[in-house]
Amino acid sequence: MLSVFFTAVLAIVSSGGFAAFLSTGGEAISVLDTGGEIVFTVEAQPGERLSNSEFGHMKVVFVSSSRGLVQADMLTGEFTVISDEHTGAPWMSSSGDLWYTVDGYLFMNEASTGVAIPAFHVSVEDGLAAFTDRGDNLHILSLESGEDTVVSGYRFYSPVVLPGGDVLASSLTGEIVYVPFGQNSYVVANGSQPCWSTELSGLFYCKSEDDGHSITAADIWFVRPGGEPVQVTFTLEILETRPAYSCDVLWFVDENRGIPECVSLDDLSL
Amino acid sequence: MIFLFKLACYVVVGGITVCLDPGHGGTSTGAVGEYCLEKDVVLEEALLLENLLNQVPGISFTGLTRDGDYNVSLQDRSGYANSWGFDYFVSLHENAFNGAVQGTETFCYSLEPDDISYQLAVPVQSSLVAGYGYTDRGVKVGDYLHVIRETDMPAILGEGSFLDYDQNWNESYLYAFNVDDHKGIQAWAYANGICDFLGFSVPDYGNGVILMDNLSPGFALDDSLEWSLEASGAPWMMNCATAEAEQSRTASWVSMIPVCGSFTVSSWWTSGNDRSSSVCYRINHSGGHTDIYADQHGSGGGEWVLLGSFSFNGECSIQILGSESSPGVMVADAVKLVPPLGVDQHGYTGLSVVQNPAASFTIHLPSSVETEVLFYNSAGRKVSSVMGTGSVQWTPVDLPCGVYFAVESHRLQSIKLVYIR
Repeated sequence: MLSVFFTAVLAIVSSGGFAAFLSTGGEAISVLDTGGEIVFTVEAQPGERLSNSEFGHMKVVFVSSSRGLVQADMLTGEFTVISDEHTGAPWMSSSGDLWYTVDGYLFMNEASTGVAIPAFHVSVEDGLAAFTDRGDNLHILSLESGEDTVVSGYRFYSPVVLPGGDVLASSLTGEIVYVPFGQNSYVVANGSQPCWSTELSGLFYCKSEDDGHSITAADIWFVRPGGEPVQVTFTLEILETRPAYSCDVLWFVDENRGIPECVSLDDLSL
Repeated sequence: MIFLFKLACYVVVGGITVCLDPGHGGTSTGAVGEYCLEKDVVLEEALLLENLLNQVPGISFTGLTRDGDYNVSLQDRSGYANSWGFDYFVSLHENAFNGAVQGTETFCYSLEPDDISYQLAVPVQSSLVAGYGYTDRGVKVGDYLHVIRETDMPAILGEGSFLDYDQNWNESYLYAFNVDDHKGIQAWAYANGICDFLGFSVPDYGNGVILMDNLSPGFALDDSLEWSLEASGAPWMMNCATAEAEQSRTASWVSMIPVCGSFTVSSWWTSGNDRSSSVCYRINHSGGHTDIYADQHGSGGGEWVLLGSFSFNGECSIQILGSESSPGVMVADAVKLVPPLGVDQHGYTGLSVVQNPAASFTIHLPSSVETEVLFYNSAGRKVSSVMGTGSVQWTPVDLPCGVYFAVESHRLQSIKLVYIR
């Protein structure tokens, strides 16, 4: 178990045995290795707020309240302003391409695709873009043909296109919906914060209880589409949230203490 | 190209985006009042607030984490807000403790002056306090609250009042029956505070009512030490100012008015045997001033009493003037201005009324067909009837001062009239 103290952690994204942590208040983004060492840090400038961090291919991309969309290269330490406009959240596909929206249009690697995507959050993989509209419907858009598949029935948010074209989306009412490519959607689990593992062909997610103000209980679960959910963490004193997975390591945040922790897959019975 | 056209209809354009978060829902009731639950109150407030913010030109999108009575986990609330990248997050809650505590408080991430959530919380708290006049419990650190800590944007959480308060009034009763638009006042107060922070014009208060209390910033007393505070019993006002009605005693309310035009003016005072029977209300309107004398000793205490209809041009000033000729205690509690359009917040047009200085009433009718209006006294006895189209005039003849009801015969609508000479 990793045990590095952070004042608080807002979100985790992981890649290649590292995980990037965005601290509460958008004050910093830190990249840790599985040994608990901080290997890279982005600190907010005075008056700046960092948000919507994305991490992959040894690059940290984030939205800055003052600079726009910024990319930090862990290897060179170089910072590049990708866009100084008001952009949507960045999305890094498995190929390393960077996707985001500006004024309702989809951009890839600093160039407009000309495709209208009216959302802040967009996920792109294998020529498919997933996003939600203001009515909280889920759109799965083929960037090649323009075919737009709309899934409704839940208040969807944060959809993710998985390698191969399946889509995973959260709903405000606690359902995690799985949309196999070209097939009908179904609820794969009840919980939130799903994180897909390609290696395990399943997803980690969080099941929590709250009193309307604070989380009172939380554990990480795992399920393969069509399979039975398996509880992964059991501790009462630790509120495991925000699962992130890469390279046989499961990362999570203890919501009580705002501490990121990780556990080897060898220690889990999946 | 067809799909591009369809999607372009949804394209997000510039402007501020705000996520509203009505707390609790479904099996999570939140605070429990005698007459209603927190989850229901805050949902209605959030829907009203959404409507108000959608009227603000600089705000392009107002999202809701919950738009019905269902459970939404804290993680889904923050996840939804983050996925839309809202500029601001406002969580609406009501408090509860032991039934004896009342007040308003707003939580933000930090109390550092340069913290944006603090900068948003201050005007919202100020506006909420002005809205109800409850105890100002202040802006507080809420970095332990999930929706404040886990949202990417500046976030605040308002606790408008204590829903379980049941001492001088029953707070949940006010919400449950929306006494004097209790929910609308709070929704507007949020909108007012948010717009104040953003530098935007404040949307008109839902049904155009302007409420001025003795705790309002625009209220002032003469500088004698003769005034004292007395528990009001009026649910939204905590207390009222009272003094012997001497010549030099004055109290005044001054307020900016967002729209120019004609308003009906009503006053609220608390009843008591020691009250003066002739308290002068000086209404300073666009045409000068008019003095209206109200009998605070007789009927009318503990309810809104109509003083008349007057035009105002940007500002309203109303004074209470003491008089040696009418001894007793005069009460300065609250005045209310209502546009005489008879349009409620749901767009329904009903009867409206104007009392003329000559002690007659003009009843505006919602339809243009000839209509009979029946007049009843407070005992339910019919005292008069008038036929008219568009409006009718009614002058009480040989009738005592007091409460009367005008009832439109076609649609069975009624409106209360308070006859003052």
